[in-house]
Amino acid sequence: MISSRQLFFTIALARISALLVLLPVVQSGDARQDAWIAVILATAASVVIVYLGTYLASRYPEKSLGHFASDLLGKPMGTIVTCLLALSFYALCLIRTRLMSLVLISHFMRRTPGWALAVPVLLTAMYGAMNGPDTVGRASEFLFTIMIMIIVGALIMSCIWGIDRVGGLRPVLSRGLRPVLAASVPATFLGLVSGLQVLALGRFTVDKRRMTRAAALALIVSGLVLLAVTIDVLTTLGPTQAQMYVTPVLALASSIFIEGTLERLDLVLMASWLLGITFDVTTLLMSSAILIGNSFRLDYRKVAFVLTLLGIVPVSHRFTDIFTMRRLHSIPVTGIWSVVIVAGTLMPVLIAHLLRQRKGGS
Amino acid sequence: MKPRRSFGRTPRPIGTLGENKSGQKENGSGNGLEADLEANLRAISSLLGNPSDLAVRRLALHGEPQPDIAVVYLASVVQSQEVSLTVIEPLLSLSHVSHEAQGEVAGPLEVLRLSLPTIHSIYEARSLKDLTAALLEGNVAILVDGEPAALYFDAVRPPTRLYQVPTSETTVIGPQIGLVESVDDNLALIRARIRHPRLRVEKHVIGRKSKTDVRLVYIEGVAPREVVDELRRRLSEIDTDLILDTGMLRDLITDRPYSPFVMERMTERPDTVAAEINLGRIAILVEGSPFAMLVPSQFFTLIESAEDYYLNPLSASVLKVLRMFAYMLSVLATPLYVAIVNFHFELVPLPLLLNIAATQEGVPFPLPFAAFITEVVLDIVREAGIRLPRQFGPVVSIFGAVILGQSAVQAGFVPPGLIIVAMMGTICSFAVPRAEKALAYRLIRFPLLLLGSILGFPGITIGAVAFVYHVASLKTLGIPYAALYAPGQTTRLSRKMVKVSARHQPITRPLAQADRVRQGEVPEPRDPKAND
Repeated sequence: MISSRQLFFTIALARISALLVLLPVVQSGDARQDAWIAVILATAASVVIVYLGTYLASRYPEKSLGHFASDLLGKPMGTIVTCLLALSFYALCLIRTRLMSLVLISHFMRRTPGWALAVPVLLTAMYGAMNGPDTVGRASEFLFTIMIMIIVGALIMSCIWGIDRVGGLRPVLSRGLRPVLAASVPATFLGLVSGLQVLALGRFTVDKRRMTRAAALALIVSGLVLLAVTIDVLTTLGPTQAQMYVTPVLALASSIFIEGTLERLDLVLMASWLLGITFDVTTLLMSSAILIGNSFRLDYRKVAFVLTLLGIVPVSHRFTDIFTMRRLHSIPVTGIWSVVIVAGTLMPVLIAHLLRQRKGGS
Repeated sequence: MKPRRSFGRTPRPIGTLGENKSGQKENGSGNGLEADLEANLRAISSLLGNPSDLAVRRLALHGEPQPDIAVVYLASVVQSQEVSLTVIEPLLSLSHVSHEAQGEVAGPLEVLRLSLPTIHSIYEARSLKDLTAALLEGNVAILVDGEPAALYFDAVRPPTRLYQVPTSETTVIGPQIGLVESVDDNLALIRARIRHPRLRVEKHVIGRKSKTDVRLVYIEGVAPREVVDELRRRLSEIDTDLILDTGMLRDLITDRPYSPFVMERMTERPDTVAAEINLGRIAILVEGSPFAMLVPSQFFTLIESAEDYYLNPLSASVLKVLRMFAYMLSVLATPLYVAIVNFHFELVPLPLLLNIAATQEGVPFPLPFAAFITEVVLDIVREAGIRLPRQFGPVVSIFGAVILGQSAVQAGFVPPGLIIVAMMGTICSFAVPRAEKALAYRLIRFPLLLLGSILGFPGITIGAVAFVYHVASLKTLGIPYAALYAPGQTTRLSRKMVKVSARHQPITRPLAQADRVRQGEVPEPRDPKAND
């Protein structure tokens, strides 16, 4: 079992890791200086959607989505709905592993084959997932602490050493709300995926009443961290330059160095991001394994093992370039994917629950 | 046939009837004792293989023509002089006539027991198996002709040494007294520090052949009850021949024996035992071991020293952070060096990079291989320094560290930078107070070195995450080994790293979430006469 604090760390760490390096609010769309507003919008939207998820999870405290979706929608429909979310988690787990290895190859280790980085990450994730939510919850305490310390340190350093390059954040919605809304779509998608893991992990949370608060707080805190990073990137690099980089945060960090002491801050930031992304891959793998295991009455540990073995081929086969992979975080892809998750998984179960409640009430 | 004689005709049970020393009811299993004294003596001697140190002292009371009492013991484990003073002299002074009269009403064994007032606990054995077991444990047995039972009592304690300064946990300030090999002496040291009526001491006898005396010491109402129950269950399930030390017991009760992380804390300091018992831990004392085992232990005990109890909060906190940093360096120094030189040299400032590059010149081995060999050699030197007699230890350390290292650099076997980093890691490992843990924990630097050599920083990071998962998955007696915010835990990372002043110590504890004794939920035992 995990505590609500551990759930908070798990969701916050997963969301920060998913959004930190690629920073889709800056890259997607054309929000430019107003990209920081997109972070706020994405956080707000994620909180609303995740609230619905935690509402369901708290109504069925001893069950995960795999159980109560079958109860509400019938076995076949419940299984389809659950598998849709589980496969989304699984697909994102593999995509993130590939993206991670591509970022590392393109920035730090150009001669290292991609599979050499992707496969160890996936195997480590499998080890964590097979140890269960208790272990992942306890690991999140340490990893979150380390990651936040490094990010805060990097932010402080960027403020001190990059102060001379700070530009303004003047334009506020000068081009209307549309570019900002568009830029918030990928961040919303990544946030809701992190938050909706409560549908798998909620059953393992001790204090169900605090689950909603923990999930919402995690999204807000991670939103604040991302807001600070976004503002830092926009002010230091400027919107045009930030949009040009694949990984604007690493670009920002590489521009900061302490003469004669620390020549590359981006390497330190990369290490902390890798801690987080490995954890994120673990939670996604574990959540998908739990949901599939519940739907088909299988031990989630065995499911995690099989999913890892199946995942080794897609994460290591025919390595594409990072620009191709980045398209998976584009506005159309994440927008459609968000709609599929919300309309295909969350809404049917929620409507079925409300209908049953009304019937019970009448 | 020899006429049977006895004090009384109607033997009556004494004291704890039918109970042996460990408080278990006699079940009649094994051969029962006979009423014939000589037959019992022959059987005991035969069962023990006619040992040369089996002493049998036959006594005849005043006015009796033939001996009718036998005092039996193993002379090698019992001091004969003490037996003469405490048993034989009082028995010889007994008056046959008066006790025959007493025996009519009380029974001969009861009379004997009353005749030995200086012995505080006398037990009764009815089977040969129990009696021989008692003799082997160092008891003295008294057999009476005509009685199918025998009395026995603990007459001797194994030889032990005087209290000495703890050698594995030296401190500058604080008590300078260590545990010894006698479990009773150790218990006395703990009782001298905790004089609370709820201090519980439970005895377990473990080991088919060694019959080792094992004691659990804890404070009822502070130690979590489920942990105490689980520990009792595990001890009762142990089926082994020998327990010679707490280390052997640890292997039998630990949750993950093959993990490099030692989840039980060993200490030879009675003040540490007392302090940890007060925090809800359970101390396990083993006869013959100068180390107490504290369970359940947690990851952050790695950086806790006995000195922390006595230093002011600021100094203790700084030292804790320093130890944590030292531990991380001891594990990561060499893997990071290899990763930086092999993959991420741009991280290093240029002048330093040029120096490193210059020293790498002419070294025939690849850096990862040289690093691996250096680490192994340093571990060997360290091990040799510990195992050798004290007079030779420093010589080997100096030879190994200085002469060998310098020669290896001069010969071009290894780069000097590597020697500096590896030595720094080794010295850092000595800053970790828990020597037994630090040694095992440092083993993980080898897989990290491998990952750092192949994948650089990302490899070390992935290895570190796997290491965090492993530590997070560990549980000791049902308590998470690395818990900070787990359900039921109130620990904070800051409280682990920082010492809070004693006046601000919270009532809630890491193990006993609520110290029910301190909070007053469990009332302290009161003297019933106090209300009168």
